[in-house]
Amino acid sequence: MLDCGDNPGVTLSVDTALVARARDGSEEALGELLERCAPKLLALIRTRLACDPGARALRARLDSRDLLQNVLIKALGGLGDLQAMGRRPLQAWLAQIAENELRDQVTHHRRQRRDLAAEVAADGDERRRIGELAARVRSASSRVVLRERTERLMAALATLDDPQREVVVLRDFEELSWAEVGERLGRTADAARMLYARALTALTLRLRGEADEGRG
Amino acid sequence: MSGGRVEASPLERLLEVWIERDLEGEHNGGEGGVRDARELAVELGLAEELTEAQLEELLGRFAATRREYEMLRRDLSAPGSAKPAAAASSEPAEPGPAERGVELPSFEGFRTIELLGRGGGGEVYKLFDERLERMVAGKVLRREGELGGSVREFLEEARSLALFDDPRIARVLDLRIELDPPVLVMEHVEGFDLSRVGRSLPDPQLAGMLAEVARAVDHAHRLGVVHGDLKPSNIRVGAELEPKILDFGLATRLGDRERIRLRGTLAYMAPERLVPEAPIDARADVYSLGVVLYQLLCGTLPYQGASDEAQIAAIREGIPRLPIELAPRVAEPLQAIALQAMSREPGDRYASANELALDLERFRDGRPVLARPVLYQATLAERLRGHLEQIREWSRLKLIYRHEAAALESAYGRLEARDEDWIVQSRRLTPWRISLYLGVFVLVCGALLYLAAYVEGAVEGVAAPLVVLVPPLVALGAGAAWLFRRDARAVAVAFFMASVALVPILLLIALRETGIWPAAAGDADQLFLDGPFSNRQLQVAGLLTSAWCLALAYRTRTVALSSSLLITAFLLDLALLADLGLRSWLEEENLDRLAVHLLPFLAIAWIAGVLADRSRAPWFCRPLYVGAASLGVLIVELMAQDGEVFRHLGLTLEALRPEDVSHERLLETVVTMVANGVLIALAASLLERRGSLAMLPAARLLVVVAPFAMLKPLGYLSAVGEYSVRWDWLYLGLSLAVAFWSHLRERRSFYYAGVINSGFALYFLTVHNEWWDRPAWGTSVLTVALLLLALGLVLFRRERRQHG
Repeated sequence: MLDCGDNPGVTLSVDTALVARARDGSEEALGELLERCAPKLLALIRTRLACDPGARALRARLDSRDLLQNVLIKALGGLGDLQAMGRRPLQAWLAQIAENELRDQVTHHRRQRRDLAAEVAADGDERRRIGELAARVRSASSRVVLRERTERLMAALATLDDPQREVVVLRDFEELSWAEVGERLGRTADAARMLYARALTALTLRLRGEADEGRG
Repeated sequence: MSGGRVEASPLERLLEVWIERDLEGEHNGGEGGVRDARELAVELGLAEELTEAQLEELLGRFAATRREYEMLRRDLSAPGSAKPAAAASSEPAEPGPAERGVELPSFEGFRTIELLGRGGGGEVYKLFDERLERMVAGKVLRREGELGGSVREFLEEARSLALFDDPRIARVLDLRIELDPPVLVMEHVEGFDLSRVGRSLPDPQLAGMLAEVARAVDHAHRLGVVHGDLKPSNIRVGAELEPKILDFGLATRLGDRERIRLRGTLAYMAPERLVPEAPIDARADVYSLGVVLYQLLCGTLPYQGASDEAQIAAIREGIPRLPIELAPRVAEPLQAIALQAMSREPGDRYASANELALDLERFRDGRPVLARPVLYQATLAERLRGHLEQIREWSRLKLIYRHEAAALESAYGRLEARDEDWIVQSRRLTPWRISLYLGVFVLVCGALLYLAAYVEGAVEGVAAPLVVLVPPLVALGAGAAWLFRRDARAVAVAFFMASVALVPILLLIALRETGIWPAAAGDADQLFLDGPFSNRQLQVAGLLTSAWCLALAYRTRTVALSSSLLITAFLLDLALLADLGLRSWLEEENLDRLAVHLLPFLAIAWIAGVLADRSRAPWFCRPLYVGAASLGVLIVELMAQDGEVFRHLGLTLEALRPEDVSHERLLETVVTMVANGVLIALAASLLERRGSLAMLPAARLLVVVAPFAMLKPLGYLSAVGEYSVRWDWLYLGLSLAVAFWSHLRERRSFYYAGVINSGFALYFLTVHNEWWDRPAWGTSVLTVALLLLALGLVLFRRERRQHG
């Protein structure tokens, strides 16, 4: 009952409705969207910026939070895509946008801040609306924080080797199913799970080595 | 990935396999997985590689590492937050506005040091008060247009905070409403989150500190304020381990309950806050404190979920793992306190934060705690389910016999519906229990004797009965209510039962003395012709007593009071039937009419039983089922008297009656009795096969009754002297046959019925033939007995031979 990781689509209608409401200006919906998805997106972006050789170059120009804003604005503007994606869960969809955004940033090396409103909306009215939305998303996403323990976790994650780090990122930050994780890594779902187990073992031991909080 | 695999340490090997299994378990929906590290170590061959001491040390390290793993999983599934929780948290709000080039706001009279956090409707800054030269925390109303509350809410918060005068609650120093934006100046609290300090504290200190927290929360409750967002990050611990509660930002006056329903932190929210319309009170905070203690004990949250929906479902319906399972060193009394506070039903929790504090202090001082969490019972029920399935599987595989499976199932069933407080079900007889329930019984007798004296006219007026009956009633009721809260449930239940006996007697006397609803003289429908009480008076007394008993049964959730309710309801039913002519039925021996009129009561009891069963109230449905089954037997037996049922159905067997039988309805009676036996046996078997677990006691009762009911017609024929000799031998033969048949279904009750009835048959034979003075009769019976013993030996040898 607790693990819904492999049952994507169950909450699809709820997710779509949530994004739609956030886009229509519901602060509550935007808040919930942020609460649910933003920390993982931030963790994903941070990990990519820290460890991905291509993305590392971005760090000089871009804060992880700016990227997060871009992703959220694009997500809210591109609601139609979510509906088109059918059974894709919300977090995985957002993660896909984040990965695309990172890739775009790396390849295009655009110097100036992009006008996202123009990018996601063609006509004037819609553009103004997205512009307003963007302002709210900016202020809201600045409130997203990672737990102190998560910061330690990110540091430990950076010390893993590439496949192990990747499997954690895909499984936890992108919330892909085992089948999808396997596909992305070119392995079977079971092999991906084994790899994940090894990654978690390494992470646990590293975290434990750093600080012993346990009572036992 | 495989570089270091060759020289992997035992801990690493153990952890990796453990995690693999854990993931596999999740993947398969909870199937599989490992729960015992030692077992796993043996499986991996580590037990052979290492000495016993090394293995112990490894397992110790593994337990700690496993907690780290569980925390890692939690962090991975929820890495952060979009609303920083602690209002006056000193955790760096990373990256703060300062780092990002945004200027810190300035407030007149203060120097802004840094941003402490955001949440609860505003931002909190660390400020230096230039006038008084001290550090303060300033909560700033968030600027309009962004997420956040209004000035009104801000004022409310400030006022509710200003009510507090408790060193354990962050104090309000000032409200600078004239500033733009307004600033709430609060005490600045140095220290750490409870989540960072709590787990490293020894148990007694932890309990003492949480008791302080609970007392502070209780202080707020007394002022009518609910915190609404208690969690470790809102509890700050100073250098002297003194706790301080922050962020009454969600705090709500108790009158304004709806506001707190869905604000706060999901993981710490009481289930009733997740249900629209459910009433919310201060016990929601008690729940949150329970979750905090749970988390401090075992390092994980009790209810988790991949999504909010899953987590909400878990909080509302799930059963948490016991802390002791997750961390073997958890002290059981602390676990009991946490689970008691976390009970799903507010009524099962501590009644107030103060009671929670008292129990924590008991633990701190090394005294036994009072917590008896209902979650233990729920956990047990949950775990029994698997065992019951296994028993059914064993029975299917013929590893055990059906009757053994039934016996095991009912033993498990007893465990589930265990009602230790009542003498009938308690596992241990103690002098105090015996004394209590003997007291209840004698009290009932005494009350009835007093009523008799009153009816006889020996007691005059209303004063004397009031003096005799009211003080014990009040004392028992109040004493029971007090004892029930003080966790002396066993005594409380006995007191409640005793009070139930006093209520109707007091009511009857009161009604008669006040002359309400008197019986009209000579009214033939009255139960007591020209007697002391009218039907209406009896009905009102019965109704009020039943209602009182129902309330008590629901409050105590015990079989004892449910059974009392069943009895009072039955008496009420009889009082209601009095209007329909109960007295004349009894006087004219029209017992069939009584039987027919009892049918609605049977139906109501059964339906109520099914409903209680569905809503998982075994304490209520079991007595109802057993009561309904007994009533059913009573009804069919009453209908059998003089074959009345045939008359009701408009049938007669007169045509079949032999000439020489003078008894008018002999055949009808015997046929009905036979049919009853079959009916009861069928009902018993139906209940056993198709019924729920709670129906088993009722089924067992019917199984016991069935063979007796089957042999009854023959016994009846024998007893009706006129035809005796013809039937006596058949009666004896059939009784012996029933005893022999008992092995077919493994029904001991058939054996007992056969044995007892054959004894009756022998007695009737002797009486009817007047064989009292015949030694030959005794000798022949002796011979038959020896033959039976010899037969036993032969059968035993044959069975031995067959089995090789």
